Amino acid sequence: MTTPEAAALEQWLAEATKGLPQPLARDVRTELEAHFEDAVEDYLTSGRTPEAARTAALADLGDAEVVRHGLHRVHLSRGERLVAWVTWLVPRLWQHRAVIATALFGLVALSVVVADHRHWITYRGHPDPLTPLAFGFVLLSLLLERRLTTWSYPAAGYLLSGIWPWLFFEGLWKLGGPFWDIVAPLVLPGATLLIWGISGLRTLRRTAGRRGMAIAWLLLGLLLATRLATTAVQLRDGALVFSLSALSATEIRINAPWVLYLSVMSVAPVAIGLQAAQRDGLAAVLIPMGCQYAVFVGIADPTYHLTFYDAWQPSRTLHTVEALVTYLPAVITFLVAPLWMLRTPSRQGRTAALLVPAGTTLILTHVLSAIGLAHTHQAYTAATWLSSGLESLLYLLPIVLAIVLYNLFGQDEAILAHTVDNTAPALADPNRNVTART
Amino acid sequence: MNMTGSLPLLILHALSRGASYGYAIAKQIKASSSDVLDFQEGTLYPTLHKLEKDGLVEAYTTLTNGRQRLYYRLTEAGERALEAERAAWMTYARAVNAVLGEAK
Repeated sequence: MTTPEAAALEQWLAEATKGLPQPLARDVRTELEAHFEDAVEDYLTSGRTPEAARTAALADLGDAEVVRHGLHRVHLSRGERLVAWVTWLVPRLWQHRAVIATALFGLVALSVVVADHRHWITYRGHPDPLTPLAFGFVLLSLLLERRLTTWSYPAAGYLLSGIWPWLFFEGLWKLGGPFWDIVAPLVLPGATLLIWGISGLRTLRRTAGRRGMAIAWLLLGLLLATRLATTAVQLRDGALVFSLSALSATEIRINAPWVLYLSVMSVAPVAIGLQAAQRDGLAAVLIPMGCQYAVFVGIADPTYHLTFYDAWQPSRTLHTVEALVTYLPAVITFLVAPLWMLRTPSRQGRTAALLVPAGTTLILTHVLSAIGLAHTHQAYTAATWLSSGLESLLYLLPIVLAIVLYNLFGQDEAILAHTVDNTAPALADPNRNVTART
Repeated sequence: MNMTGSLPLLILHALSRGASYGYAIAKQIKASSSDVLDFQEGTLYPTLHKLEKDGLVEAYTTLTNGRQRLYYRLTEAGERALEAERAAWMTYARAVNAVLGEAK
């Protein structure tokens, strides 16, 4: 049986001789092993226990990495040293690939957000550059990994919510004609509704009678009620008005698909994320979160009034606030939440990692907007705060719903393994152990 | 104590007393300096191999107490290098001592 000390020596020797040509590595290994055995004998003679003697002898050898560097300098040419260094580095990078890829994706996504903000890419009528980026990352993830990696969740989230408005409102809508005017606004939300319906039915069938589902259904009802409330009650000239009665039949016909689309988009990511949770519990929460960012920024557009006033009556405060309100949700969604989630092993920790950044973003965004708009016609009033609260609830509810579903069906192990055996669905057996492939 | 740069000289000196192997050389250096000169013993081997590559020491295998050991001994070039290094070190040490003595 291998003792811990023997395993430690083996690891030390492997590290010290890594990258050396095979015969030389063998000779060096023999020499170092002899050194170690001599040291152990001396420690035993001085009265140490075998375990303590081996531990002390290994400590005396020092840092294996320093020894390896020294041996490489003596025995390898410059080119061979470079190859050895790369050979040493790649497995270490691979080991931390989820964190590295997540950070890289986050930084690229943030750069796009910054570029978009500075150069007004989307305001000039160009398609949103983040959506194709997200599409590329998700596709790359599926092609290379054949499974969703952690870094692709915000991308997937952005894609799920962003792809339709990108295709539909930026380009195709302008084509005009009866199809694009009437059919398309119904077909696209209809397709989403279908996905949600199928996902919902599957969930319903598999979770019938399970404890906790009542909370999920309650949240779903609350979410739809909030969506209806934000549609019916609108903020006009600083006051809340019940707007449905003021709308004409034509306005209702035009607005209905949009409201349907928003309603479906609020819930669909949760349903899709839950299906993804069959393979990786984390997707159940991160996909909705990514979607919320897209919905929050793309549809609610918290910078709208700030951008308007910044262009009309430019001031340093407005400019700073507008930049903060633009970058804050992106930083939280693309960097803070995924990395926090990735480094948190406990279920409670992940729940906090999902809820705290999202909640903080919402609160800070509104507080900052209130500061920025303080001396303008759009200054925050009690009605504005009430309306903002309702809107915030609209973004937080799907996340809370996702958390509830994640706690009911998600996999704890999946987050740390981040590469999971996806042969059996977690929903079929929630207690199934997930096997890390790393 | 930081031994950066002086390990080759110490190894050559240890081997001037006769052929030896890695662990014994490390022990000898530590004992001779009353454990003032301490170092990570594994780092001895890259230095030994460098000296061998430079032709200052040569290695040979021998069987001692049923265990195969790699011994090192000084070559003629090694003896000359030891004398030169020792002289350089003494000059350096005298210079440092002179400066420190002056400071008193």
